[in-house]
Amino acid sequence: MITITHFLVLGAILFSLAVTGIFMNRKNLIVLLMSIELMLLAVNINFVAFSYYLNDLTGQVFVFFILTVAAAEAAIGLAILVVVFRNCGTINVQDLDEMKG
Amino acid sequence: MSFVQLCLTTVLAPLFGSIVVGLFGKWLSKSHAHLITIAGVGIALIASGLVFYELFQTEYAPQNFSVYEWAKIGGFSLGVGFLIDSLTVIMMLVVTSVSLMVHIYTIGYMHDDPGYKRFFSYISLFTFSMLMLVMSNNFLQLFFGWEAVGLVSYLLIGFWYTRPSAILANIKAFLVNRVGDFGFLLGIAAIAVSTSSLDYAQVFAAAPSLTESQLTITNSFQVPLLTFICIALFVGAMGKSAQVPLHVWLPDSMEGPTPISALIHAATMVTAGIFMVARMSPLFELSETALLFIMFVGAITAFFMGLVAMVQDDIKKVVAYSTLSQLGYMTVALGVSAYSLAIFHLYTHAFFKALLFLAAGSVIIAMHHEQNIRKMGGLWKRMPITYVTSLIGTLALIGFPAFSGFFSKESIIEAVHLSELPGAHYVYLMVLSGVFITAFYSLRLFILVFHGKPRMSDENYSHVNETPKVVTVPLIVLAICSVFAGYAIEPMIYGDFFAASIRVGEQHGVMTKMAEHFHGVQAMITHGFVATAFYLLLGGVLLAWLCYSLVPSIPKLLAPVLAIPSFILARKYGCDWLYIKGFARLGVGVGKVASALGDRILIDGLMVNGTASMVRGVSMQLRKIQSGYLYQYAFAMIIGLLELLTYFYYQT
Amino acid sequence: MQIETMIIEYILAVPEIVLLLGACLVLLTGPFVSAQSHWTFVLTQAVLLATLYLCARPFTGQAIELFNDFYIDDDLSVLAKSSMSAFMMVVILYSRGFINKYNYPRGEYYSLALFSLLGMMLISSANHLLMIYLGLELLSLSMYALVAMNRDDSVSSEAAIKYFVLGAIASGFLLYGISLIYGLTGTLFLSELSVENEIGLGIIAAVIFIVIGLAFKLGAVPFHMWLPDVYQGAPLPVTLLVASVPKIAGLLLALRLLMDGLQFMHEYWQQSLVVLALLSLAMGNIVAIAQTNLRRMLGYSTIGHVGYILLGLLVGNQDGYSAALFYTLIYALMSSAVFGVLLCAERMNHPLENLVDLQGLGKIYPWLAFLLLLLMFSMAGIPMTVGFYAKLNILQALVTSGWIELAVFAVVASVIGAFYYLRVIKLMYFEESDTQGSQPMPAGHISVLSIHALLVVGLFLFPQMLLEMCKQVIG
Repeated sequence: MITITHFLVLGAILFSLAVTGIFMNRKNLIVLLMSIELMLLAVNINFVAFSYYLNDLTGQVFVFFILTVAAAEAAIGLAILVVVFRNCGTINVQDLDEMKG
Repeated sequence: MSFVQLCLTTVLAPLFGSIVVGLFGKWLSKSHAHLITIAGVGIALIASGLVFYELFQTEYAPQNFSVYEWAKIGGFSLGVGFLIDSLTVIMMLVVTSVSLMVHIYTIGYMHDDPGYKRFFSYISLFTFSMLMLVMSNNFLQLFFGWEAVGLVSYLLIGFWYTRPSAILANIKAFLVNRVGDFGFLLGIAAIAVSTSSLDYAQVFAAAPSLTESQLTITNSFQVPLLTFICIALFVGAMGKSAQVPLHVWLPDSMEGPTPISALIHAATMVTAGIFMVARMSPLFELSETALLFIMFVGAITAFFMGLVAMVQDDIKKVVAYSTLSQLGYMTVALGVSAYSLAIFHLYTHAFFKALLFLAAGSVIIAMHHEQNIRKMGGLWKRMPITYVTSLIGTLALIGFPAFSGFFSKESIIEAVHLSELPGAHYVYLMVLSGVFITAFYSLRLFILVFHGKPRMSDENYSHVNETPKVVTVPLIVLAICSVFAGYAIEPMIYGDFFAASIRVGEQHGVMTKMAEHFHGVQAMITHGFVATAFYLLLGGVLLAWLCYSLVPSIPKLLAPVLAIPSFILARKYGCDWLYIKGFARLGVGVGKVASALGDRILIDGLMVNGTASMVRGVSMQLRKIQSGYLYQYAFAMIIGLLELLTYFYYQT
Repeated sequence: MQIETMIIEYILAVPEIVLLLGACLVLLTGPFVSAQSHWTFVLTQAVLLATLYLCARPFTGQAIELFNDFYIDDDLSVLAKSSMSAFMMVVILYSRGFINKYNYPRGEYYSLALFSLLGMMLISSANHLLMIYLGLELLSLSMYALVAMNRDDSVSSEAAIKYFVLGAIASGFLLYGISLIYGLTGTLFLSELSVENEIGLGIIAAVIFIVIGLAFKLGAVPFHMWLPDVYQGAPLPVTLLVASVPKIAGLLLALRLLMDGLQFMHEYWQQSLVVLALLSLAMGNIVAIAQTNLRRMLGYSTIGHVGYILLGLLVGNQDGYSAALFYTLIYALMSSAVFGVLLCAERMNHPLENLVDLQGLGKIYPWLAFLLLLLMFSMAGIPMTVGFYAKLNILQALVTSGWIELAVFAVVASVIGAFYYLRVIKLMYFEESDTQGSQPMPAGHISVLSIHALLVVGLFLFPQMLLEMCKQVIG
């Protein structure tokens, strides 16, 4: 029997993976974008699970909005990525340290 | 016009004149400037006269009313109010009339001065401030007036601000007055604390219940509260009225233009201290110690400052020291509880001393700003009006019977004689010998200036002319006052004039005894010609005549014999030396050490710059957290998250 | 009946609708007008003016819930929306010269600004966590794009990518918190949030996630990392935008979430806010001292101010909320004026990029320097400027509810903060520079800026009205 706890643990694991991905990754910006997507998906799992167990549709509707926004976010993120690559010639996270202190 | 409006007019008319001329002087011509201010003071004089008349009608019943409440802090009501009684009204009349004379005189004296309008603005402002001071019904307003006259005095002493000596003099006046004001403020503070009020009426009503109170300074050291209050207030008066040892500023204040010396440093402002003590008579009567202190300070001032006047060569300095000496007389009168006599002397002195100053000014104008009496002489032919009026002023000053100074000074000496305060007989000897001294230096001045051979080139002498009417008319008016002001003694001193405004304790019955001896003005004059004082006076006059007119070689002959006294007198007992070389230098020294050690090393170095450089150091380290790497930024966020989560995890 | 309710609902939402249509219109006109044309600018200002006009109404003290209770129209939202539209107008006005000078794609800046405003207005009126999320994303996405607007500048794009990634993480946190809230309370309506059982770790974790999302938006330590980089890297008009209007939205976000929604968790979020506020005050003010770049310094100063705002919020009563609101409005006023000064100087070819650029400004452009002086005084909280009241209010709220240690800490922090504000003044007036001020001041810009900056003195003299308003709109 799969209980809500399983879903929540799954969501939490995915979320932690995403977070870890963000700060462990020092090379590629695209990985960062992927991690962010993963994070949103983890949240989505939470929402869907809760929605199912609460017998309430709001959560699922929320997921649709998140998906939509995530798409827009990815679009903007990739656009910025392109700009960064054009200007800096790299998408290496470690090289982006012109501003600090 | 109601009584309140009348009082307000008196105060505000000079202020209005001052503001108009002071702020909009640029657009006014010279004659407009003096017309506006003179009109202001003239209105004030007329209004004062009307106030006097109203008061006369009601038989001098004090009028106490509040005009405006400025703020209320806790139980304290801070505001503007007037207490109009005989004491106030006499001051109002003296202030406005002398001020008017000085205003008119200034037209002539300051004629070519570039600061003409500024000067008129200042003296009108002074008139306003002085009126605020004397008409106040509470300590706050008194203090306001007190500081305001001090301010104007400061501005006017340094009126010729390009002269280093004037700047030095006004700083000196300012600093010395700060010492006095500190005491004054302490006194007011003690009053406020002990009576929870600043209103005269309430304070005076509460005072008798404070006679037993003690003021704890340290655990083992207590002083009677009222004695502390009175002496503290009197310290203020010592500053303002230039009593030893806070007298040093007054002679130097002669750096200011002569009309100022007449108005502020002879007739009115310096008498503010005398007025204040008389006003506070219900307090001072309750402290024997304070009265004794006042009497001795006054006697010392009267006697020793008179001595200094004997060796001065500057015409204004002589008159200035004589002012100090006369202020001493007034203070002595306060000390022996003869407040009314102090005020009476203040009133006669205002006229004849203003006259003497203005006459001195007239001489100075005629001599083209030469002030050394050694370079004058024989001026009586060239300046008859100045000569005659000066003579009247001199006679009044030395207390020649029938002149105004006679009535007041003779009465003070008599009052001291009758006083039962311990040590009063020493003081009596001092004030009595003061008569001799006064007569000597006054005649010395008079003879050196007006008689004998001119000690200047003939060409210069021929240029000396009588001064214009704007100068001589005030002289004549003041001379008339100087002759006749004294005849008011009967109603003022022995009538009920001051009954409602001055309170004298049962135990200080000097004035009642005086009244028993008084048998009318005529009798007093007659008695004056046979009194001890008169012989001393004649002695002084004759000695001066002998030394400076008959046998001018006497002073030179006596010089080696009197070397030591004249050395001391010429240095004014070393007060200046002590203050400047001693206190001031000590202060500067301490300040330098404190600045080097405390300020620069400890505060600036360790505390200010130390903390600053520490913060800067921390800042330089902290900014490294912002490494610029995206993953570290994210890491910081996650650390923050984990931190908060663990914090709450362990808490629940 | 049904139709009538619908009509009323739409009438109340007219400002947002107008703004949305206007933003689309501006976006569409962009490609069709020439680069020299002023049409986009005029159109934008007209849209903003209309929005402002439609938003502003007298306070009624009532809250109307509309669109199935997703949306709320109350005095707080009215005050927030009108002030945000007004500030946006000023921002657009200041930015215009810069945009023209550097030939930025104008339609983009203006329409993105309008969209971000729409997002902020959604936040201000949100009564549902979905609305909060959507508003926030609309605001953030517009901002990411704006920061990256200068497509040929590496610093600018670096700032954009940092802002984007961190912002996405923050909204991920927020969403995770929202999902937990949803699961534990069964609702997403802010006014209905509550828990039946005792407060467990789950709901606390949810609150922490939400607070973090909030802290990121406001720029509280340690979620502030994006802020100095964005302030420094973004094009100046964008920095102006980021530094002013979104702060009000950030506060509204906090008020909606914490005051309207999570008041029952006050005890918990208060503790997290204490930590965040202390860190922000300390970090912001101390690190600002070491800065050499003026905009970066202002970024750290913002963090310090956020610390103050958080102090007001954490008190958690009417005094605290209204003090925070007052502070935020004043902060937006000062901050937009400071960047207005920077933009004005930039237009006169005297860019104030680093602190050294300020040297001798008092001689070169005396009036501009004077305005900056007033603003610096106000930011430091020196009396005669309204910044003093703003700080005083916060401190009063803290002290009356017993947070004396926090108040003392805040005062110490602002003393440290005064150092770098006064250093600006020192540089302007006590250092020499050989540069000459030859350029005439742009008349429209400087006149609006003068009124704007002098308001900090005006509001010091007459603060009562604004203070009353801030009190009134909070419950």
